[in-house]
Amino acid sequence: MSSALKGLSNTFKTLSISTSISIRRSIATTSAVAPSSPPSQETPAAAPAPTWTPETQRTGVLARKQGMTCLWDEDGARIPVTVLHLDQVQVLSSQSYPSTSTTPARHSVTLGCSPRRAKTTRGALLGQFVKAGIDPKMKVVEFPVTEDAVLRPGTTLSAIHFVPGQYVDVQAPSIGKGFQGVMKRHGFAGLRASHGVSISHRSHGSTGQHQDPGRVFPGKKMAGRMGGKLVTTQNLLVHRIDTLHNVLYVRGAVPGPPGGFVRVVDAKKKVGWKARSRASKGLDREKGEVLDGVKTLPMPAGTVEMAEGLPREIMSNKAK
Amino acid sequence: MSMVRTKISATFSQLCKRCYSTANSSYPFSSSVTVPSPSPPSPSQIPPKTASLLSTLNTHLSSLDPSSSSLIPLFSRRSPTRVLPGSVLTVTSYSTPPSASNPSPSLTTFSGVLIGVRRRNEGRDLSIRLRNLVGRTGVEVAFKVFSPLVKEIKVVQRAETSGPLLATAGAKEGERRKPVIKASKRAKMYFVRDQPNRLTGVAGIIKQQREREMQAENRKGARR
Repeated sequence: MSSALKGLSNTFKTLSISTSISIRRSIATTSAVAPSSPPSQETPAAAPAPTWTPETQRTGVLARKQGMTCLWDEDGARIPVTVLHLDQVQVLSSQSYPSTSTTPARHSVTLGCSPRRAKTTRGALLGQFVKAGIDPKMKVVEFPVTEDAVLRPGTTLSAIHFVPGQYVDVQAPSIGKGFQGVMKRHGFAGLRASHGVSISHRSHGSTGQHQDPGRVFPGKKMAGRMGGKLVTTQNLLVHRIDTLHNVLYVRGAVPGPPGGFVRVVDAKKKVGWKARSRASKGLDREKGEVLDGVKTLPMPAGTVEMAEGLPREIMSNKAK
Repeated sequence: MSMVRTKISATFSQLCKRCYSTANSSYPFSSSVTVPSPSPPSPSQIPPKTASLLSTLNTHLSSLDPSSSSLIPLFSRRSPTRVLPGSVLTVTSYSTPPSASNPSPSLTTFSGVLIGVRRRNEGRDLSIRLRNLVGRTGVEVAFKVFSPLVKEIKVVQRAETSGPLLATAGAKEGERRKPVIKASKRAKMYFVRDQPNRLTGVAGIIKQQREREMQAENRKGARR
């Protein structure tokens, strides 16, 4: 099995993306797996694309943080934006777990982002990519979705998945700061610079009371490792999208360093809860908008095929 | 010796119409969006193929501004026609942004010596710092060049490393060069903050420029 996979990895080594499609199909047939056809080739009785409802949970996207820049709006306001690049984001698989007596049915979409050399990809993971008929990826993540948002393996996601004017939650490990003192880590004030303070200018001071309780409470804020943890920044506005470069311009800052992988998902509060609140009040029927300024969201996902018929660059009119 | 680089020749609303269009019909997911219609960037603005994605995007965004073709050659780091520190510039800016209801709000003009250019993000955050004596007080103002609030940047007099050669009428030996504003040997001229007498001549240069412009306008009026 390992030699067969080594052969596969050698095949991938010499592949370019354009030639991979024909070889993908031949590999699929030899392994007796149904060939993964491109998403455009639907079955004869294809159902129409589902519409987004406030109860729908679409897949998120894995993007690479490129850095920050600024845009200027018509009122002269400067808008700092973070550039997120959807670097060859493709669906690896979709899982469906049937309901049991205690849990409801669950569905999920597994995505990969950023190309990777087959030689450096672990054999087991490489087999997953071969099964899906896509090139190996650097990072693979899973997103929980509802049944109407399940995607076919091999689907390539585009920046058109997000609508300028909607909000997103962005999640990534924060930049690691190493072992840090309490002043940086917890914002403690420290002690005086002079007037008799000896050696403890940046220390935490007292850690508790006296004989009662006679111990330091668990969770006491102290010096230690700072950063490198998963941080979710909620409700960032998607200001602009560029489908040629597959890039999102998101207002505000995003955790992690440039080059880092970030999970971008429809905002739980400002999309999910907001849409449900609007629907219960009947606001969505007034203007035909599920959210303020957003008619609907691409379903089941914004793919590169969907982006072909739409403008290349789109930006939101929302004032800062 | 002055060159006028007009930032916006039309009113702001016309500018918006020129470079943006609301493609409501072609984008079904929202009607509160605009689609920028890009103009192809000038050859000097096209980044090399090895440039990073962010660099390419920043260059593309800067090129969408219609005044970028005139402003980038003025302030870019290696442009042969760049304005050197020590030059005298005049910046005209809006106090409030122009809108449909108020297309030409009041303007503010500030002239001064260019003491620094701050270049970031391929021109997105390009800012210049001008210093002048207002009364007896030194005043420095920083302008974000690509902000919609900055209307116009005029070069009153460029600083040069050495002036042009003059033909000597008499039997004097050696070369004589026309006196010009000497360009500083520094990128940032913060040392002028400690030299109160250095900027006293700037007001005269600006006044002379204004008189020249007035005379030109009078001549135009007389011709009509």
